[in-house]
Amino acid sequence: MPAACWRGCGAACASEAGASVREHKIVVLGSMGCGKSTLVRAIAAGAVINTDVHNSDRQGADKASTTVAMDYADIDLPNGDRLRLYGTPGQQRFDFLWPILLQGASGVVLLLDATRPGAADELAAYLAVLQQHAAQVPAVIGVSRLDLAPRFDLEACATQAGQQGRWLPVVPVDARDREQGLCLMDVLMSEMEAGAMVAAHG
Amino acid sequence: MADGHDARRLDPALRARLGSHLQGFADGITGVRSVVLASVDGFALVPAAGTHGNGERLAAMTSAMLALAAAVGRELALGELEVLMLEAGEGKVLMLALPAVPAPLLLMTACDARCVIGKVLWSAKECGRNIMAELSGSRADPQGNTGLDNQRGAPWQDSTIP
Repeated sequence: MPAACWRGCGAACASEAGASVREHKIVVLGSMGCGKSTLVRAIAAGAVINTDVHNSDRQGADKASTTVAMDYADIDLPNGDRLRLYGTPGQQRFDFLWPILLQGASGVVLLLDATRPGAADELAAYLAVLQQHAAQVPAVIGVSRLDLAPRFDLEACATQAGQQGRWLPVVPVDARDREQGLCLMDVLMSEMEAGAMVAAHG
Repeated sequence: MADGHDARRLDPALRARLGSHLQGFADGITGVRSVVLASVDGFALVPAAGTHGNGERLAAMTSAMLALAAAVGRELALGELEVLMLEAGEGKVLMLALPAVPAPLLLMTACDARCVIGKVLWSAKECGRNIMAELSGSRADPQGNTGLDNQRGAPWQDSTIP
């Protein structure tokens, strides 16, 4: 499958850049039904390899299908770089896949569903996963369905992450909206570049 | 990060009958270490026969592995996934996709190095046929109760179509 282009102009723009392609592995973590697959599909404009199967756990999330291994998509950036986007399965029983998918990651999107009553606990749990498997990897917290939970406290998320040792950007995102997904990727790329600069200059 | 273990409400009598098929399969071949029957989304439906490994974990792993294998099959236009085989120094693993009605199921068996993979495959397919016959037999229930609550009959491949 050819890589989707950030600007929608196809794989040609990467070759036009002429330079060697830098690849960034981005992993999307989050609980079942928070919008990980939707986000990956939106960013990749639908060009996704998925492992969706029928969802028999409607209590966990009321949706017809669920990811059981990963979502995967290539996205070419205007500068010739390439994003390799991996969506993870959210259910705890698939937690053995998280460290596998986080191996070699350049960046992590931690997606939270603002409507879930236990969002703070989920954030704590996923921050612990990050701490264990990707402690030095730049990350960003995306918060989905904020329109349905207008009282959700974004600042509290940032504070909670800071108290767990990671001061991370918190970005509201409609996972269905490609532009918002790309904006989230921009924030993450900025974190990655800042991290690289700090590493290069001590 | 909650998981929906309570979502499986398998009829106890059906669970027992399916369990006896799994146990018969495990007992019939020397070296079978574990047998798990799972839903396509990775729930163990029947307690695992054999003593090796955690049945819940193996069910989730089987689901993920077969879903990845199905993705490879789709990429290469190989048609519907049936079997995935793994071979390691100390044993082998077979994973089967069972096109059961009303819901597709997965069968995983792990065996040690003594096992002949062809024999295990033949017996696993036989076990799979028995399980599907058991399920289709229970469909004769006048109320249409299959014993598989909370499951709908989306075929393995169809649920991957956007």
